[in-house]
Amino acid sequence: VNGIAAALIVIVIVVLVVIVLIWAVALYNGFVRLRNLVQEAWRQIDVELNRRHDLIPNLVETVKGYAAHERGVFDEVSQARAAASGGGQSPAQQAASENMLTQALGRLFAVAEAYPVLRASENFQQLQLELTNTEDRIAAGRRFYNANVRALNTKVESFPSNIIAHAFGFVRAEYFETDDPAVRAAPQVSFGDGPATPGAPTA
Amino acid sequence: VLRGAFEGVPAVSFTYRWTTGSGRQRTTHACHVVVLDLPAFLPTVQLTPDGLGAKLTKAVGGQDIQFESDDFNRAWRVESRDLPVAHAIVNPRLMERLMRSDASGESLRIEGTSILSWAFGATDTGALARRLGLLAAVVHAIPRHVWQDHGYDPMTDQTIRGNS
Repeated sequence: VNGIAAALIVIVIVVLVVIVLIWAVALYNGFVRLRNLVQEAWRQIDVELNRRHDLIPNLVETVKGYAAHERGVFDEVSQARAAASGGGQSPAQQAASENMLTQALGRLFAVAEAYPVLRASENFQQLQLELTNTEDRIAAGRRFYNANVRALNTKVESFPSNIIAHAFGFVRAEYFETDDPAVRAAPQVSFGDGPATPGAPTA
Repeated sequence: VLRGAFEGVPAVSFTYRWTTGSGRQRTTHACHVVVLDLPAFLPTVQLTPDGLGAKLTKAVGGQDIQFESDDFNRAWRVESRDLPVAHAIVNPRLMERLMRSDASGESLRIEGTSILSWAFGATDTGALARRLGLLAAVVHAIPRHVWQDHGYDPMTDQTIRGNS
């Protein structure tokens, strides 16, 4: 009888260990999946940020064609763009650089406001529209990225998943926050009434 | 079946009936479905009220995409295989719209080139305008870049849609 009882205890312990192992493996795989999602979402933001940076030289050149003497603003935009497009930045650093760039662009658009012929220029309108569209893409990418970061961070901090996180070195990810109202705003789209009025980025 | 146009967009309303059981247990169910055409094929995104059934389904592994609004997450269950598109479509503007009282209890689904809503019961023509209006609001909230990524640009197509 004692032998049967001992065997039962061993079986129960083995079953419990197997259950705990399955749970740990599932949690570990969940962490890996979330971490990869965060990285993938960040790469998507990076693509959109590059697209934004690529538009800026054309925009500056177009404004220069009408307001060449506003050199200070052009230099500011160029410096902010160079800082933002420098690689190897963390999401928080990138967000700070993008905010600086947005402020510089706001001043560029403020300059453009004083030149009605420039504002009426088809090329300028097209660039402005493309910039707005790119910022909508960045806004959508930022929301997707932050949603994945939120899911990862919640899992890293929650009990009992934090045990696995601690054991295997899964850490909190950084949010990508922006102060730019144009990027923060909900995307806008117009149907049927011609091109929507593009919202210039504002400081 | 009712066919027509809402804000210039082809729309259909019909009652879908199906039977379960047999013999004395035979029961016929009805569902009022409202459909609005979309200008391009989009990935499937489904939004349903986050009721008890949804909670039970989620408890056994059913999907529910989480967004930045806790109120919205409590009120709606969102499912899609295309997470980036779901996040782009369910943006803050749409979330705010779906939290209004007239959207409460609705079930919505973007499916291919249609967006549809359904409610249990026979066709209720009195609710038609409200439900079509809600579908149109969802369509208007879809960002331009989502359309562009699926082969359509609302800014270059003057034949489309709404606001008329």
